[in-house]
Amino acid sequence: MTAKSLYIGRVTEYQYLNSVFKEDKAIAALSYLCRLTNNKLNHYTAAKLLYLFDREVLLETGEPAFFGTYYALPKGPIISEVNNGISSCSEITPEAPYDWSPYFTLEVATHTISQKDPDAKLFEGLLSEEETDRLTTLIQKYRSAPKGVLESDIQNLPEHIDLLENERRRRMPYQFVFERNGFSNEQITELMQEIAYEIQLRTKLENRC
Amino acid sequence: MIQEGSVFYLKGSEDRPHYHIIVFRDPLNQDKRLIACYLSSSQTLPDLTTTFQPNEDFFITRFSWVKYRNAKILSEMDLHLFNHVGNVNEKVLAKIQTGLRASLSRVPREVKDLLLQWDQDRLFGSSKSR
Repeated sequence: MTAKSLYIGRVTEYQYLNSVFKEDKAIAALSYLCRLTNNKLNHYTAAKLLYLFDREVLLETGEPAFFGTYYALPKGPIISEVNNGISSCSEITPEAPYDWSPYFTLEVATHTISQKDPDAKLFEGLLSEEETDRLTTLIQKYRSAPKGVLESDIQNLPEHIDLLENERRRRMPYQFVFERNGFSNEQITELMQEIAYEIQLRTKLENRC
Repeated sequence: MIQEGSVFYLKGSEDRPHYHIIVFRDPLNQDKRLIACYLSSSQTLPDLTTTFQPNEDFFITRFSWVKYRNAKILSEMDLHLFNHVGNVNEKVLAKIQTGLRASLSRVPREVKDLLLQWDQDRLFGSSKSR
């Protein structure tokens, strides 16, 4: 069973359902991070590491890992669907389009996300070895880093946006991330065409089932 | 007949087709799943593991490369979404197969595991026939 079957009917007018988001793959990555951290991972750290992972893949290969929606927040960007998925695991579950509570628990008092089955390797076949190596490198880098290093690194990313005083968040299209990281307009057009094709292909394959 | 080397493009993408190649299938012909990759002609961030120059095969009209990272397991039913345009020549198929084996760390683990399972089946299948 894929995770997508779980969230039908939970979409609110505030949080839209992104049909091209690779939800199972994002769950696989979070599951892998949990296993690397003795099954205790801070919510903020998880959301930021998965953003760093995804944007690294985007900038090195031209395609994101999860096909999620990037948003700039005051403390740096996140992938909206990943954050919703993590948030859905608390006892006080907000109305959210993604429900990851069958797999994870979010302890509200400590902001700690854990797998319900500590040894579960959720959807592991969706990650490549290169991707698990990348996640391992990220967790190793920030696990031993002094407090504040992750937040500082996130805020120093070329695509970081200083939001306006009354602004809670701002959407960051992939084009914007490419542009801020030095890609030319021609390159961005080409990369976006490739992303669009992969989305078209996956949509057709998934709708066939 | 779908075989290793069959070439398809996605229906509805005729204006800018990406050619999909069946790279491997079950050597014992019991598993109906297929491992497929597609070609890209993007000049930005190409994977240079396996590249093609124009005219290396009948459907290659410009510089192209194999997007191994997006290798997929397809079913024969999935191929109804595609138009079959022919078969790649043996040399091109060998290049793509060699490239996929060299890229196993970059493909989804499920693709790698399936290929390795088929390799095992091929080994034991041939052992039994000796």
